[in-house]
Amino acid sequence: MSFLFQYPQVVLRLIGQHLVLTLSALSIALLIALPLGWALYRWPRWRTPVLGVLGVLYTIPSLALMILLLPWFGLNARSVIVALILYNQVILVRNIWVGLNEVDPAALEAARGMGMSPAQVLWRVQLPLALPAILAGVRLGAVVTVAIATIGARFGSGGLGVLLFDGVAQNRPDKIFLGALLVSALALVFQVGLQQLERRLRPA
Amino acid sequence: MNGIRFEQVSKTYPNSTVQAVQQVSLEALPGLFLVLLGPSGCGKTTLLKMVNRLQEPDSGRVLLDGKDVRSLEVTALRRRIGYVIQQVGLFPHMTVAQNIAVVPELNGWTRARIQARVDELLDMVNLPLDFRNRYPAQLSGGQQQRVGLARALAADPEVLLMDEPFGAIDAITRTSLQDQLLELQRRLHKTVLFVTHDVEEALRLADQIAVLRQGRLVQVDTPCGLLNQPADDFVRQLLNSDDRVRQIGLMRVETVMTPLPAEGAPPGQPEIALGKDLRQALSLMLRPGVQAVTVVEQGRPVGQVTFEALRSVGCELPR
Repeated sequence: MSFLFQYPQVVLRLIGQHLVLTLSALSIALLIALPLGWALYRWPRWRTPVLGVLGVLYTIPSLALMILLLPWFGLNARSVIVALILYNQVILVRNIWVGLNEVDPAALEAARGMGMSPAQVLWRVQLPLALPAILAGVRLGAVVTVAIATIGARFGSGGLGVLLFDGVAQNRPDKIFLGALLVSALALVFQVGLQQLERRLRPA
Repeated sequence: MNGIRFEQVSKTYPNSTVQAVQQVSLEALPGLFLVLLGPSGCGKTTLLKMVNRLQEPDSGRVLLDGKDVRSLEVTALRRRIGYVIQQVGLFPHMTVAQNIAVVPELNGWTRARIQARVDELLDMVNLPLDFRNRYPAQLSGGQQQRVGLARALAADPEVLLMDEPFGAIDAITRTSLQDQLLELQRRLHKTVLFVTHDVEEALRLADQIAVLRQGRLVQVDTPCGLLNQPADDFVRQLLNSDDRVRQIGLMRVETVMTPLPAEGAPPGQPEIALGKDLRQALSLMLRPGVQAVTVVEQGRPVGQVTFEALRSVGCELPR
C-alpha cells in the first residue's frame, strides 16, 4: 500500500492506461460484434460455425494469443487491444444474437405491419428490446477485459499489470497486492455500473 | 372510401405441396365489415396478409381503392392500413401513449397533434387517460388489445385488418370488446377485414361473411343469408344453419325495429339497447305479460321490437 502513497501519480497513470485499454478494446469489439450478431440473427445458418470459431478463440490462453499477434501488430498496446477484441467477440456476439432472437415475434410483425422500414424496425424495436441482453454481454465482456488487460503489461501496453509484473520481478508483495486490489476494484466498478444501467433501461 | 378486392389470388407456401389460397376472388366493400371465417389452415390469415403485403400472392391481384397493392410503396401502403393481431404485439419498451403514437410519428405529425390524438383514441377505446404512461406489461389482456386497436386506428386509416384480435381473450372480455368494436364501427365506418374461426363472433360482427375451406372461397353472404341459404353441407354444419334461435341471435334489434306507438311504450315494458341481438330481445319477451321490447339508444327510447317482427325476421343488412 505504501507504494500508492509514495507515488500516487504513477498509480493514477496506470489506472488511466488500464481504463483506456479496456474502453477502447470494448468499444471496438462492440462495433464489430453488433453487425456480426445481427448477421447471425439474420442468417441463422451461420450461427453454429461462427460461434464455434469464436468459442475456440476464447480458449486460447491470453499470453499465447498476444504472442501470436505480435508479428502483425508489434510489441505494443495494439496487439493487446486486438487480443481483447477477439476475446470479447464470443461474449458480445452471442449476447447480441440472443437479445435479437428473444424479441417477441408479435412485436416484430406489428412493427412491420404498421409500416416501419427494416431500419426503423431495427432501431426502434429490435435493438431497444435486445438492449438488456446486449448490456449483460458488455458487462461480462468488461470484467473479462479488465482482467485480461493486466497481461498486456508484458507487451508494453502499460496498465495495472505493470504493478503485478514489477512486484513479482522486484519481490515486492505490496505492489502485487495493490495491483490485484485495483484490478478487482476496476472490474467491480464496471460490473456494478453496467448493472445499474441495465436496471434503469429495463421497462417496468 | 377504400374497398379491397381480391382477384383470382393463389398462394402456395415454400416447402408445401398444398395451395394455401386457391383462386380466391372476393370484394370487401368500402365501409363494411367483412369477416373471413373458416377452420384453421383454410387460408384466411394468408388472404388478410396479402392486403398489407406481409404475404404476396403467387398469382392474381389484390386491389386497394382500385390500385394493385404491389404497385404501392410497401411502408406507405401499410401506414394507410390499421393492423391488429391476436398476440397484440404492443412494444413492451414503450408506454401506451408511445405505442399508439407510432404511425403518427412515422408520418411526421407534430407533437401536439399526436398528444391530442392519443387522448382521443384512449377515450374511443374506453381506456382512462392516465393509462398513457403505463407499460403494456401493466395491462390486462383485454386492455392491451384495446391499446392495440387504438394503435391501429391512430392515423385514421380507412382500412382495418384484424387477425383473430380477440382469440386470446377470455369470453366475457371478448364479448364486451366485440360490442365496443361494433359501436366504433357504427361511428367510423372503416372497411374492416376480420379473420376468425369463431362462428358466433363472425355472426355477431359481420356485415358480410366469406366462408373459406382449404384455401377456397365457399360462400360469401350476409350472416342471415348464410343461415338461410348455406351453399353446401360444410357451411350448413359450420354455422349450424337450421338453428332458429341462433339465427335471431346474430341479428341486431335495429334489423326489425318498428316505431313506438304514438303514446309511447306501455309502462313496465322491458328495454334493450340498440346494437343488442334479437336473442336477448326474445329472452326479455318470454317474460310473463311482455308484448314488446323497447329499444333505447343512450337511455332514450327509439323504437320497439314486437313478437310478430321477430317471427318474420328478414335478412337485410342493418345499416
